[in-house]
Amino acid sequence: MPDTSPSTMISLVRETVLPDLPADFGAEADFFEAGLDSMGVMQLVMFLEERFAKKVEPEELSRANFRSGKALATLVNEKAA
Amino acid sequence: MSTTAPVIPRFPVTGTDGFVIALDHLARAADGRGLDALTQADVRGQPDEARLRWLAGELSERMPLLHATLRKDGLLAVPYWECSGDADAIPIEFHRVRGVTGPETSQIDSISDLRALRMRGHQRVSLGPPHIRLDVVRTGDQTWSILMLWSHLLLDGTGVELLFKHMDELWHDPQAVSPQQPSVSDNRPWWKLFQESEACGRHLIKLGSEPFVSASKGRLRTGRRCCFWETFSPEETAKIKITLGRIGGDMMRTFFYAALAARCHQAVFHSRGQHGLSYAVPMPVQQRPKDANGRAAVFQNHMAMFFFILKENDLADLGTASKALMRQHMEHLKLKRHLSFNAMQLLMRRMPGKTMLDLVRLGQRGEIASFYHAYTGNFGEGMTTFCGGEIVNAVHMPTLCAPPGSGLFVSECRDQLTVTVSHLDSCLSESETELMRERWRSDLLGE
Repeated sequence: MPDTSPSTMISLVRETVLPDLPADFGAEADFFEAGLDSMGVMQLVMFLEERFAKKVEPEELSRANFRSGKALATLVNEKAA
Repeated sequence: MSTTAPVIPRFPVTGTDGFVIALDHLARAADGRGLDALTQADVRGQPDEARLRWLAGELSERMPLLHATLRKDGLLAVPYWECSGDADAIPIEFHRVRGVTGPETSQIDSISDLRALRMRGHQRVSLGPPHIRLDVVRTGDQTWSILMLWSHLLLDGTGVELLFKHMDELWHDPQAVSPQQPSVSDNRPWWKLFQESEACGRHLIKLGSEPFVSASKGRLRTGRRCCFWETFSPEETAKIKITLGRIGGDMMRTFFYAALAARCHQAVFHSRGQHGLSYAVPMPVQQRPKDANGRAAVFQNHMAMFFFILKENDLADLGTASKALMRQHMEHLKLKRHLSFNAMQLLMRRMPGKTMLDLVRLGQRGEIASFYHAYTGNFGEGMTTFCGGEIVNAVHMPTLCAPPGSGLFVSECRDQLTVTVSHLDSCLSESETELMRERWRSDLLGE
């Protein structure tokens, strides 16, 4: 089963949309304050679908679900449950 | 003794700038006026003429692009902004509405008269300054408005909001550091750009393979520039957000409002008996570079462009249309069409504007898109004050050319949503804009 921890999510965000995310970026630190925008969110959605085979529904496309590594991990884990 | 000539700053145009230059050319070819836009902010309190004049001079000193001229490189044919002009203060005029007491000598009958005058624009005789003009209007004992007329050649809606924000910042702190314009150059050779344009080229050919509709019916038209908007109260805006929340999360707003633009145009086209046609929906998504201090670029057009096709059955309701746009957006991202389109724009920015648009229109039966649309989000990233007063509301009034001849734009300020229709009166009638209004009230408020 793939690792869906907050730190993995932060690595994914760094890999896909925010390459300059600091190494010590915390699990609850705000991706939007770090520069995540709507385009980046859509790229993340695509990436999550490819990596975890999880389809993100339109109603799940909220700032709250993409705000931090912890929030993103919760979203992916809830979809796995 | 040797002397070194001062280095004149140059900023090559972005891919999106290149397309805007072509549209500005189209606007000028129609009636001599450029592709300008107007932004109005309504503020509480009293305007401070002396400090606003200082600000107009200070901005020009600090931001060389405000007095730059658009030129073209003789060798590579890439247009660029050259900051060699004198740092003249931004033109600023002070008025009061007739009947309102104040020191201003210029009296106007109403702010809408002044807006109409500015929207009509001026004949553009050069691609140099001034790129913005300010009018400050005392509208009541404790209210005033600022109108900024700006050229789309140099700024886009988000950039204008960042400029407003910086003006307010300087008002509070005259020593504040101004955002520096990052120079965005792309040195890929033309053949590389040509290769990378292929995916987008295929998409645009597909887009043009079946007829789509626009208010101008694919013809070059001139006409009076008109703008009509409705600002919803905070209570109505909250209700709208609940409506949209039933369709999807808050990161879907770009799709909601593009879908709304399509649905409002559908109401018009249906009234004209145009049923069963496709809609070509352009959707700009901001992609702003930042300076060394992490501050977003104020000047130039910075957008990734997406082109979607909506068919009649995609437009059954706002939810269906929003989801159709989202699906297509995902497909575009997977195929990296936005990068491909940017490569195409970078390649085409070398072309004269007329040649560029002739090529675009050739493959699309004279059309460019079914309409224009943009969603600019919260004004000035949520700013609440401007130059000493509380902001009551702020609205953008873009102008556009034909084709397509109409557009629908959405913005927010202080928990109030504004829907704006911009059009040429030769393309949309007043009764048709009323049809649009009925549609947006029905879609957003369930009326």
